[in-house]
Amino acid sequence: MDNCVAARRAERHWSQADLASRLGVSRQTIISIEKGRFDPSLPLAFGLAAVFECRIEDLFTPDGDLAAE
Amino acid sequence: MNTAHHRDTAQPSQDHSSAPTPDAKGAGPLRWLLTLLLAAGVAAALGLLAAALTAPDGRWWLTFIVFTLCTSGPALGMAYFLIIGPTIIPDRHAEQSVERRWFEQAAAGAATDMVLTLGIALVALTFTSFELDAQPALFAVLGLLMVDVLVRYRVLSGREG
Repeated sequence: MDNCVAARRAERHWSQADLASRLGVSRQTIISIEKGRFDPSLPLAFGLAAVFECRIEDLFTPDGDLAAE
Repeated sequence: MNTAHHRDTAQPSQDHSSAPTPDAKGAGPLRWLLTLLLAAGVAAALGLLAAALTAPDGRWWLTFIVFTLCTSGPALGMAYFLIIGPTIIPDRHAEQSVERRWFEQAAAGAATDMVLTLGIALVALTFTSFELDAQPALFAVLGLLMVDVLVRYRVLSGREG
């Protein structure tokens, strides 16, 4: 799953640690999400959307077969 | 992995957008003191019991010291479980962390490794009629399992971190 978490975070001048603190997760979790190596759980995805004041689909876009459909 | 905090000093955050409460500074000095005292008392009692039941004449103090030292670790764990444990609540965000996923994957992989290893060992023992003492064999299995989880976790965190 592709995402624009890093770009949204940079717009707000937040560090990865800032975002992790706001979400109550580890900084490593944010790093892995931004690198696309970790797809967050649904509650965490909702949390990210709430923090960035947008919809989940504005943050995450499916790749591969799901994107083709 | 930060998966828990103490009920005494921290409250879980109520929504995802708010900053989480910082981890607890501890369960309080009184609880820690009670934990240490209970652990020391239990270890000393077990040492005395061992000395009274098994020590040869004149060497009871050596048996007492050895058993007290050897049981101090488990006694500390038990005291922590009884006194500090009730103050700890699980971190509600723990399941959402990537570290949790790494651990679950490492544990699942290690469990598969263990089934394969034990199965192969069982077949080998059956065909060779070789006999193993249960105590060292179980100790080896436990050690192998822990090392397997640790190595797999490190590999996953290095690859995906």
